[in-house]
Formats: sequence, structure tokens, C-alpha cells
Amino acid sequence: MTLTLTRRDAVAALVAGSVGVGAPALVVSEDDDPATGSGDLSGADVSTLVALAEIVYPSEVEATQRFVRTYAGNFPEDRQSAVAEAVGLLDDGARRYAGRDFADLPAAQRGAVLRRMGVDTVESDPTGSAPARVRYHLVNSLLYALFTTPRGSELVGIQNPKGYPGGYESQTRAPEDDDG
Amino acid sequence: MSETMDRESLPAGRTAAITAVVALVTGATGRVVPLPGLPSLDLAAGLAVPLALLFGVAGALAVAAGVVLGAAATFSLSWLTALDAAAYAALAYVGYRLWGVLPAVATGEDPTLRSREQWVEFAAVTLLAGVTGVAVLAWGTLVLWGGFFHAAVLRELAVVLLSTMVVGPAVIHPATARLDALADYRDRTPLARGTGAFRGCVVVPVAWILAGSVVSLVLGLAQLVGTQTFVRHGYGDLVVLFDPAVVGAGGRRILVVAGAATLALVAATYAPTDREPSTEQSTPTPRDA
Repeated sequence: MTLTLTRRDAVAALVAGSVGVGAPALVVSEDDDPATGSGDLSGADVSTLVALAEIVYPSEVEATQRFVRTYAGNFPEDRQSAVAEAVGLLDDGARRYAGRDFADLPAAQRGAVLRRMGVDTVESDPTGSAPARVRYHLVNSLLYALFTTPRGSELVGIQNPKGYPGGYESQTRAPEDDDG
Repeated sequence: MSETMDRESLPAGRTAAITAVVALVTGATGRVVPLPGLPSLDLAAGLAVPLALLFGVAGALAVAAGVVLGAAATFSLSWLTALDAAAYAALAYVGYRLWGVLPAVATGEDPTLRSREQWVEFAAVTLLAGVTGVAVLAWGTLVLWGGFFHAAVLRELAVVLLSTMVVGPAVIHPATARLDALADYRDRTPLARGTGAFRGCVVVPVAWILAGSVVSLVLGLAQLVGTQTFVRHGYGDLVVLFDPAVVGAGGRRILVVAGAATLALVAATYAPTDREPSTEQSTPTPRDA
């Protein structure tokens, strides 16, 4: 069964993230045209993020253009610039190793480019080497988005994702499907 | 000297053909052919040593030109292209120069890969040439992308060795049979051209890659452990030795400067010399049988 992440999930993830960092309110901007970018992110940047999500998300999860655009497009301005820069670095790597932009590559080659760049093994760092920045700003941001949505986190058994009070209850109640 | 240079030369048409083949392969497949559970295959890297063994310096230069042309054809030219071209040219050239001179494994025959001994020599040449090419690649990646030297070495060495060992036999085996039919190739086989290298050619790149990896690993670990731990145990004076603000993450600044000096040394050790054609060149090869 495929889990399709929508704009609604992105809004939920943003709310959870903002609660996590103590932001009192969040105004989520929504643009109905999925071909356009958002803020500092161009439509091509969003397409690259969607292509990356296809690789880093579990195979049963599908990240739509609107999910990614709503989530990344509502980052603070400096964070959006950093994401756009990291997309540029990822495209540099894809052109180096495969002669095309990352989003234009077949899925298997996208994974191979990430491994060849060392993104799979590097420690994430917002200001570090090119692979470290790709890991921090792109890969980890996408994973954070997935695991702070209720539907995404349930997929991997997280009952109380960040930003969702109720974790206390889930920890004091015995698991319902516990065989032991 | 002039005899060696003459044998190094290759008809322009043939050099252009090799360049076009590498460019076509690079442009068409990219440089990552995914293999499940293994490092990806880089066909351009895989072609470097075999083409240099077959065509000498002209083959090595054609590999570099092919990488640049392949990137240009896909509008992907950048400083990274120049780095890759230089590293693959080094890989190819060193491979060619090491054939027939490595103690214990040299067969004294032109490469045909038709015997187990030749496979052993090919593997040894690939390993040592790979070390040189990967050292250049890892150093350049450090300059252009940052990161850790030892991580780049491990990643790229696996790709280069795998690619060369897969692509090499598939090229050399059939090519040598066909090249024999070319009247002018007999004078241009690797041993007829004269390969030749001395111990420094092997020692310097190996020392570079080992020392660079150790420095990168040790400084990276020290930075991970953190300043406070050292201060708490009374080794506060050592902190400056691995302070990222001074030496860079994983000793990047040190490795960039030291790498530039070592690269110059490697280039000097392989500078063209008057190489004599091998006395072993008249040894009958399986092709002569």
C-alpha cells in the first residue's frame, strides 16, 4: 500500500516542527500551482527535492510536489537559501557523475550519485563539505518532514512524533499488539 | 629520447577515435553505473588503464580529453571535470609506466591477459596506479568540495579498482588480438615503447594516500572527541594541533597544502625520461604462437 504525503501532511509537519522549537504561531503559505517555486526555492529546486525524496523515503511512501513545496517553501528565508544552495551542490554532483541534473536521472542512478558523493556516509553539517550540506539541508530535512507527520511516523512505529502531545499516554499504556 | 617520443606518438585519427569512444561512454552512461550491493561502476575510470596500456601516453591523454569532451557534450563542464580528467590521466599514465617493471609480478610480456601471471600483474598495476589516481582525486575533492580525505580515498579506490578490473579484460583481451593486424602497432606495444618507472614512483603515492588517510582519520577523531575532553585530562596544550579553526575539519588545510607539494613530487618522479625499450620485448607472447 502506498502512503501519499499531501500538503495537509506538510502543514502538520510544519506545525509539529514549530511547536518543537517553541514558535508561537505559524502562517503556512500555500500556492495552488505546483510548477512554481516558493520563496527562495524555484520550481526546479522543488522537483529536485521530490526526486531526492523518492530515494531517501521508504518505497511505500510517495512525496508529492505539493507536500515538498509546502514544507520547504515555509522554511525561514535563510534556511530556504541554504536549501537552494544545497540543491545546487547536489546538481553539481549529479552533473559530475551522470552528466545531468539530479531530478533528470533514473532512480537507480540517483542513488548511485548520492553514494558516489558520499552523502550516505558523511556526518551532516549545515556549513560543512558539499556532501555534508546536502545531507543536512536536503536529506535530513526530508526525513524530518516525514517523521513529524502522524501518518509518516506511524509507518515506522513512532506513536508520539515530535510536536504531538500524547506521548505520555502512549508510553504508559501497554502496546495493544504486543504478543509477549 | 626521440625514438621513445616517436613510439609514443599515435596517428591523430586513432587518438581522436579513442577520445571519441571515452567521450561517448562518459556522456552516454554517465560515470555511475549502479551495481546492487557494490560500488558503482565508472566506465571512464575503467577504460583509463587499459587504453593507456594499449596506446601509451596518447591513450592516457585521450582518456582525459574524453572525460572533458563527455562533460562538454552534456553541458556539465566545471572545475570538477578538470579534476576528474587530471586524476584519470594520472591513473592511466602511471598504469602504463608501471607495466613490466614491478618486481615479482612483471611478466616481461605485453599485456594480453591470457595467463594467470598477466592477471596478477594487471591487478598489481591497477592497484598502484589506482592509488595514485585516487590520491589526486581525493585531494582535488578536498579542495573543491571539502570533506574527509580518508573517506574520499575509500570511496573512490573501490570504484576505480572495481571498474578497472571489470572493464580492463573486456577491452584488452579482444583489442590486442585485433591490434596485431595493424602494421604500425608492433612498434608501439607497451614494452616496445619502453615503460619504466623507479621505486619512488610507487613509494610517493602510496605514502601520500596512507599518511593523508591517517592524518584525516586521527584529526577527525580528535575533533569529534572535543576540546573539553583533552583539557579535562591535562592535554589542553594539544588542542591547537587539531583545532578545526586552525587545521580545518579533518585537517583539511594541512592536507590541501601537503597534497599540493606531494602532487608536484609525483609529477616530477614521472616526468618523461629517456626510456629504453624493454629487452624483454622480443620474448614470444601468446599472440606470437
